[in-house]
Amino acid sequence: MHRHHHRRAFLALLCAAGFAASAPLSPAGAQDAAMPLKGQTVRIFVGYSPGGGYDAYARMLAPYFEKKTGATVVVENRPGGGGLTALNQLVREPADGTAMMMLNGEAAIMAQLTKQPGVSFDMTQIGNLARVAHEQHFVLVNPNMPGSLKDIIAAGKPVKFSATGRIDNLGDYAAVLCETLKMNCQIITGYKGSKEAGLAVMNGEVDALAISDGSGNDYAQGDKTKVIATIGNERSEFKPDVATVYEQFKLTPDEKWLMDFRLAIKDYGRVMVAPPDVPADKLKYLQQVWREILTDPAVMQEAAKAKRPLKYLAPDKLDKTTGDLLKSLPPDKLEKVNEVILKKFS
Amino acid sequence: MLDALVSAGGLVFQPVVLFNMMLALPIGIVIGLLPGLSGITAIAFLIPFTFGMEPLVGLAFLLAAYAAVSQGGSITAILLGVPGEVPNAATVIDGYQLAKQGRAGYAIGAALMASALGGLFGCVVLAFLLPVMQPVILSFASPENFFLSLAGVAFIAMLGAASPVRGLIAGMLGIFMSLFGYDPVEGVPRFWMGSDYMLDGFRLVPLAMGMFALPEILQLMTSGKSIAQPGKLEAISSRQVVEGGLAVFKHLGIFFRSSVLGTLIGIMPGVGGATAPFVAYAAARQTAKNPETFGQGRVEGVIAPEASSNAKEGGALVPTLALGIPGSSSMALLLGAFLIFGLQPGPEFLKKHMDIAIALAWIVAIANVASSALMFLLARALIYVTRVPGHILAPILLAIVVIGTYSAGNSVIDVLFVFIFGTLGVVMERFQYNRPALLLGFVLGETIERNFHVSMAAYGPSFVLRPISIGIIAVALVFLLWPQRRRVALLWRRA
Repeated sequence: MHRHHHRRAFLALLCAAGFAASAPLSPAGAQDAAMPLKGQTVRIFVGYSPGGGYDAYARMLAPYFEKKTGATVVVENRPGGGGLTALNQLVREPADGTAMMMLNGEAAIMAQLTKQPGVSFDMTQIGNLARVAHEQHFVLVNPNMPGSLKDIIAAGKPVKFSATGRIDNLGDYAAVLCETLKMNCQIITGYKGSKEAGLAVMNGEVDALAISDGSGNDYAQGDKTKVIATIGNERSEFKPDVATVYEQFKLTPDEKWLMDFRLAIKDYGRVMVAPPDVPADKLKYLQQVWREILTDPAVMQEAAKAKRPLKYLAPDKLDKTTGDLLKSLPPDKLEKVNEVILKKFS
Repeated sequence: MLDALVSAGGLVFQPVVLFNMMLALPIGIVIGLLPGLSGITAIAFLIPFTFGMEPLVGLAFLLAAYAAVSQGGSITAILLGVPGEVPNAATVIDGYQLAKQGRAGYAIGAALMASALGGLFGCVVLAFLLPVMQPVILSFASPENFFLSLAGVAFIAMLGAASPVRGLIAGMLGIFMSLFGYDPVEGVPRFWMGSDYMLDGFRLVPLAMGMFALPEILQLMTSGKSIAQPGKLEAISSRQVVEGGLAVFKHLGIFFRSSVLGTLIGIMPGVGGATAPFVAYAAARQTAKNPETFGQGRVEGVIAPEASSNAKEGGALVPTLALGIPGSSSMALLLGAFLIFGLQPGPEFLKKHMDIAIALAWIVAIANVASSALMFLLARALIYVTRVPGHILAPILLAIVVIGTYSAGNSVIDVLFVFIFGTLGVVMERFQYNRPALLLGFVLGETIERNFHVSMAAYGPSFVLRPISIGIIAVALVFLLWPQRRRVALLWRRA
């Protein structure tokens, strides 16, 4: 009870802060040099419908941004195109700091790498503001499957993975896993969402699923599925006892290459971005605001409580990631990435 | 079991829970009466208001609003021929005819009573089935979803008011229109003509608005007359509404059948609630004595879809709570709300929080009854809409449709498409093509495609031989051939 009251008071305060910020505090036109966005309306695009993870992050962070900048934030859901139509629209917005996007960075990079039709953005030009979060992936299997990746490979039977698409963070992870461990896999795409893909593992329609740790943890409750491996450089906080693929298998750098590449994209994660060519001083200001918000212990605690943990990464590191992944990738490697993810295992 | 029910009741009947539900109902009704805005919109819009509430209070608030929205949608379906949400399109068929005959009150009464009792039915079933539900849900996989969706479109196409052939053509046109935009399996865009907008294909809200609202608005404009035809007017009275409510009890068979169908379809994850009212409508028509009079204003045609539509929400809570897999898109949003309250639906949830789960069933039930009661009180005033002269009503409706469509997707192109689909709607109405069949084909086209592909990939062509699949096919065939049973029997004997 007590805790609830505290939280309620805290949220009421937040709301009040939000309302206060939305009322014009200074006469129209007057601009504070220290707060260049004061009194302006800032839009944060979300590429998905209300209710999803990206929407939740944007709406959770918006009040803090309002408080720090004195701007009014409107979260705009622009679903479509696997979450990327909104990014196509963002790059055409005025680069003055009044438009941002809470972006599925992994999907954006994958789409550009695999040259998906309809991509009219360039991630190497985008204005990285901050990484908000990223997650490890789990390998989930039906309870009737052998209990470890080694046993599954030893059994030699083809393994069916469920996915929504080829580059949806489910299909591509499965493809990378199968290629790295030279498994005999069939990736079945077409599931409506990760939940339906999870259900397919539970009812035995498919054998396995590669999925983000938070969702995977949910689906593994009540022994409906079991988690047999973590795809990542370190173990997940959801299941610290589940070893990573790298711990379970001794791999040569050559064998590891593709998975390392995919994990580098994962590290880019869920990011806050601005259109290309935002003036340097404005860009710097936005980057600083987001750093202060995302590294504030109170905000981090509140986010963790809502099961939306924050994992800040600085924009210069994000710039380096996009550069490494998209600019300096040799053509033969690019071809291999495309072949494995888009064609193999179908 | 019984003490779980009682202790859950104790949770629900707290003043703060009931007060929040009463607060949510009018909001839900307003959203429901605005075409284009759906229950999903209502939940999305209201979730921020629940921050800081206790879990059960917040969920009661959301579920109550949600229940009220679907009621509002059926009211506009009857009064204006404009379905508030896709499931309400089945109510349009006979409900709007009744309104035209000046019997809107009667239809509204029947709709409210059917949906209140249907909702109640779904929740009772939910409360009793929750503990044993998991194996049933898990036995429904992609092949079953495929056949069920296909049967849904076939039913409404064959059994709608007009001829079966035109119905099938409309249904297929709907499926065809669902093929535009990203292919759900490989993610390759189809027929997108280089336009960002078309990457996601045609949109549902402009389609529903254009198809159903525009032809009616045009009719009102050109004739200048009111919706209810003068000459057949009964005086508007609450008696009409009460009589409509009592009609449900005269058709108890249809009511129960529809409620069972709705609950069953709601339980299956993946099919989506849109099918339930159409299947129920088809079933009611199929088993009626004079099926040809359906579509001309039969009250059973209102009772069946309304009962099943609300019964399914109880059903849809089952997979949401038992597996953490939402049974409908609004349930998916609700799942997000659960997480905000620190509750994690799934098998563990049922073990730990059975009382909350059953309390939610209570809440849905109460919300259904309460929103119906509220609507009963409003109904008399709302019926006056059908007496407003067309030249006054039409421009108002047009403005509402345009604003509703725009606010649903924040897109001007959506508004443009209202008029394009409106043209199609006028043509289809003129030549008596089945518009609900097109809408359902459009909604289920993607489900059909996804589940067909997954079934083929996972099981090969033998997916049709799975026992439950065969069951669904058999039931569907019996259903579709029932009116022709004499002819079939004759053929059988000859062969």
